[in-house]
Amino acid sequence: MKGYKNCIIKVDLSSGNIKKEHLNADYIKRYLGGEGYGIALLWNHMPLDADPLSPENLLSFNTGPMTGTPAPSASRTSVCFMSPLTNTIGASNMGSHFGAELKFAGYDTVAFTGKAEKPVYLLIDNEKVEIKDASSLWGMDTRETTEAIKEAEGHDIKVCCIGQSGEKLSSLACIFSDDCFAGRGGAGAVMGSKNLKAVAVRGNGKVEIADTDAFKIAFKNSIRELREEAYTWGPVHGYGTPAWVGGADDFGILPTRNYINNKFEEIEKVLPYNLWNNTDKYKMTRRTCYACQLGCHKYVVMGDVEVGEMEYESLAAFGPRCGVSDYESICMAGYYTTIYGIDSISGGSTISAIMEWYEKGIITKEQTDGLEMNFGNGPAMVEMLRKMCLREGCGDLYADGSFAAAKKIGGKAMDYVMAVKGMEISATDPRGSSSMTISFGTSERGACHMRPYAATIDAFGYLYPDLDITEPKDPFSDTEDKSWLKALKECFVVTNLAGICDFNVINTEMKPSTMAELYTAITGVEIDKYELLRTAERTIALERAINYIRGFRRKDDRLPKRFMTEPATGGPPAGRVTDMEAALDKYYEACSYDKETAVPTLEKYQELGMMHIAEKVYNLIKQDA
Amino acid sequence: MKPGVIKVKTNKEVCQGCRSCEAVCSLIHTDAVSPQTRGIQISELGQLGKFKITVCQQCFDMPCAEACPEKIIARNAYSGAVAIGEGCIGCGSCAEACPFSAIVMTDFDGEVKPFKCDLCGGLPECVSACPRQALSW
Repeated sequence: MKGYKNCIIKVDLSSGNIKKEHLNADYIKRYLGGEGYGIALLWNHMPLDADPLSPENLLSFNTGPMTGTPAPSASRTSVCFMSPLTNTIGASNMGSHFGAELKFAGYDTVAFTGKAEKPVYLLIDNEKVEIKDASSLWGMDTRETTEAIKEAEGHDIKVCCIGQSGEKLSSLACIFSDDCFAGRGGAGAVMGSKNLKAVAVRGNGKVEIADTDAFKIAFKNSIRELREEAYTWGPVHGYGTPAWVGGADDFGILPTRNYINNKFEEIEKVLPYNLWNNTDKYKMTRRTCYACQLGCHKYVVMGDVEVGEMEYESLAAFGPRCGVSDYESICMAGYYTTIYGIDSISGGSTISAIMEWYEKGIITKEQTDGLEMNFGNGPAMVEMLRKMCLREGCGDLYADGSFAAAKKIGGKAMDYVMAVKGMEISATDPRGSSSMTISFGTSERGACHMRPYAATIDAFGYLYPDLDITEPKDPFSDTEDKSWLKALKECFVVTNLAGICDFNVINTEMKPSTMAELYTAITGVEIDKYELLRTAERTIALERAINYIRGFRRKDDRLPKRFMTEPATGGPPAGRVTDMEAALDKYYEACSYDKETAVPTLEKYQELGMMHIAEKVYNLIKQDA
Repeated sequence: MKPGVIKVKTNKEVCQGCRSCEAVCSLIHTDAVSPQTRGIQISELGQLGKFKITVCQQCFDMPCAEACPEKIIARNAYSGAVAIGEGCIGCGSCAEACPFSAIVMTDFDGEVKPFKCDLCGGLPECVSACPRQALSW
């Protein structure tokens, strides 16, 4: 089948054994590729009770069938693993030029098991695949590591690697690739636990496409759809994702001071034009991922400091969420997350939790190494972040995120942890968007804003006719029908499977039917949008099965109490709290999930052709009963 | 060497390095995306975010055609592009002669042959693929 390279590299780091195999055609048919392929690997090739930081954990880098083609932002690599942050499945995807290069080298997926005796990196140079010593790289930050590998292997090589946080097994550690990150869920710690410092790839081969003429038409449709969406092609194209900050504040979904507030009174100061126009202090450049039309990636240099990418989530996490409004501190925090390699969302959220604990007297200066962790104290935030990244002093307590820290601190600390399944909630206040309540709650990898980013529909009022979303949805109703959310989630997940960026659909730009056209042109396999969405539905059903086996139930799909008990303080949702149970019931109904166990019903599994999966899950359900 | 006028014009200031142009070029001409086989090349210079765009200038005096021992490089009557005709022996003289390094020597099914911008026969596809108007026509 064209589009795929039909080759997976399996690396056992314990024995140093490297095998190349054909892709499993059954996984491709069921789950398409990308994230779906990685999750299928977990189900089939890993003990499902594996400890995330043990050698048993299976870490895979999965490109999709579209990765490497000119399809819009066909750059994505889905990294799949068991997450040390949440203990659920981990699926985190990154852009950069790494995935395309892997395809050009001739591979769809690289999978790692075991643990190397000493630090290593994997070099993939077209046909040649070898494990190389990385002892001299251990202790280096992400940029230094990339440079050192380029120095050794040639400057055209594409690298993804971990920084010090990954080495120190921080559950917030991410994987870095050319200022893009597989950020959420602690993939960096999994690499660290395997003594795997980096993966470097050079590819001079090609990705073949089944029907060039059909592709040309589908490609033109897809870029037209992107360019016709005014917000995407206007502010986001211009300022990058920080453009969302103003809108989020207007609609009252901008988390402020650890979600105490949902609107930021100093919003003016953090609007992105302050960064772009302040040319005496900041230099902004654009560097995009492979084949990206949008180019949300904005590279910031502040004096001598090469900050790296500044995007909405980092800005919101280190800005309003911590009550900080000075760009200097926000940029410094962004710099540390980049070079040490931690997830900026969870990093910023953990610090905002520390700030609330500090202000409420749950922790004192003893647990902050003397730092005055009040909301709004930018320099203290930056210093705390640095300590967290390096596990220095008190930073060790917080390095695994707010959930793990609260367990150690005890008392009322857990009440102020804004996380689901242990993963910190990203920068959208669910009190202002009922559908985001469900997105954060039911996301299989912990509170994730991209499964799906539904505030676009209910809060911002977008429609998505190709997904049958033709009527505006009420952002404040938890009892409204949520079947549209099921389709939207599948649409977002399809992008992860296909290897394109979910920013193609975040503002309802690209039609799922255009995605299907692209897929058909690339692979030569006829598919319509319904079957495409079904591959995502299967992937989600498989992820739910793994999570169930690992002990996750309906109770784990709930948001923190704050959203149900403390009303929103400003903007359109002022005074509103979330009715979590009603929202969950509506969503489970729409997805045909059992309301108690939160997994698809037997009938649903049967319809999806996944009875072999269902058997395991339902045997366990029987035992539990 | 005298650069031509009808060619893919570039504005490197706004290029953001997505390489959509490279990918589309490769696909249109070879039915596959290959990072080696493309008539337009994007490379990041020493400074992050600064890109160099290399593409055939469709020179008026055609130094590549002059260097070709087989004399098969000529201007296409319809598109005005400097085009490599049939009968290439893959000697690489044209690539060496190009003052812009806009001709790449690349592997076509085991044979090394030159590859360059032919303006897609008249309407360059890279131009419409570029999201930043770094390419124009």
